[in-house]
Amino acid sequence: MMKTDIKTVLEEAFAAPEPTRKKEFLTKMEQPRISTFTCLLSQISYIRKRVWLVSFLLLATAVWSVGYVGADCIHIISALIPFIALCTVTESARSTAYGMTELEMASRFSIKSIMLARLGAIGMLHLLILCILIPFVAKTTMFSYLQVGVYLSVPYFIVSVLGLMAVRKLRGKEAFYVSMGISVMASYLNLLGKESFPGLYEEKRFIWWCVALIYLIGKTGSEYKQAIHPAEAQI
Amino acid sequence: MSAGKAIDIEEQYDKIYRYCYFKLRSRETAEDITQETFLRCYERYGHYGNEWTLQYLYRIAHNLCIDEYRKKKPVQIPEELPDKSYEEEILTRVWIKDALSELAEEEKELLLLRYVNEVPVGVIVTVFGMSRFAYYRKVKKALQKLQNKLGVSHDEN
Repeated sequence: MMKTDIKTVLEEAFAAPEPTRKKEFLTKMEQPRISTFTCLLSQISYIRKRVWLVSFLLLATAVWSVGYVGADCIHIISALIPFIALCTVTESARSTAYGMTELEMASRFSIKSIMLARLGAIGMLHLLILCILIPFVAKTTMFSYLQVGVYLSVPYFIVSVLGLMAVRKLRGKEAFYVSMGISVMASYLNLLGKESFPGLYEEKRFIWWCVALIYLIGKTGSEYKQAIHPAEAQI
Repeated sequence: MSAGKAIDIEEQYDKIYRYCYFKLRSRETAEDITQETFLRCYERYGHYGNEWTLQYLYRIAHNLCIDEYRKKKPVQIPEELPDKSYEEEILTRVWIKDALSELAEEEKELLLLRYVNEVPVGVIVTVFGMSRFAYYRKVKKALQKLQNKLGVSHDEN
């Protein structure tokens, strides 16, 4: 008798007919849950490299301006902040612009989770940038850390709100161009602010900056919710 | 694969199904039991994959097969020979099955689990409730019988 490997023999002997309902069953079974942190990490890899590059370039420019421009750096940094906000706006528009909804439908997670994770990652990056900038700017100006934080955050959220509205109402490249235009305008107004509105950064007006910031944060949250909701509605 | 490592659900589906088919000799029933096994694992762990253990899977499958067998004796459907063109392959299969028929049910089950499904020894002894010594003794005996009948070589390691 021929010598045969025992494993091969047994595999032959115990062979079973093909199951007929395997694919259907495995598809129906719920996919493994992952933690929020793991989801966040997985989405970070999908954020375009240019977002990271632009954010860090702007940060480098801002830090440089602190060293070379002195007390006026707050105007320059405020002028750069809108472009940092633009990164977030364009990233939120990416899914709808490139028809990624269908692809994300095939994924294991809801589109809401995907978008929140991605935008959350960018948001944290920008928060980090802000945290780095605040002490630098406060050191060279007469403003406190809180004041600097508010003065830099307001233009960021203005651009975020207007940019998200544009992305929601317009489609494709048009949304990007309008968002870019909003950032450029906000940047220009910030630079102009120093000469045209010299009293803008006075102590007595700081409360209005705080009110504006609170309102803008709320409005940004509302715009993000509306941005995510239509993406879900398309599923 | 150790009992505690993350398992590949798709791969294990085939193996559990093969095991159930061996026990019950019915494709439909084997598939039902396989799916029931996975559903129970899912129920226990609340989700799917990483923490499942082979031990738990095989224990459930083993117990469900016993329950099913006690409920109704499975109809012995003559197993279809594979639709192969070569007479020699068909004859080989018949010859192997003939050799296996001389083994006890438990011996066949042990060989299936160890050599075909590649279940770790630790899992097998837990599912069967036997000592490693008893396991090695039974497997050695089964392999010896096969070797005598078929003239095959084997390596327990």
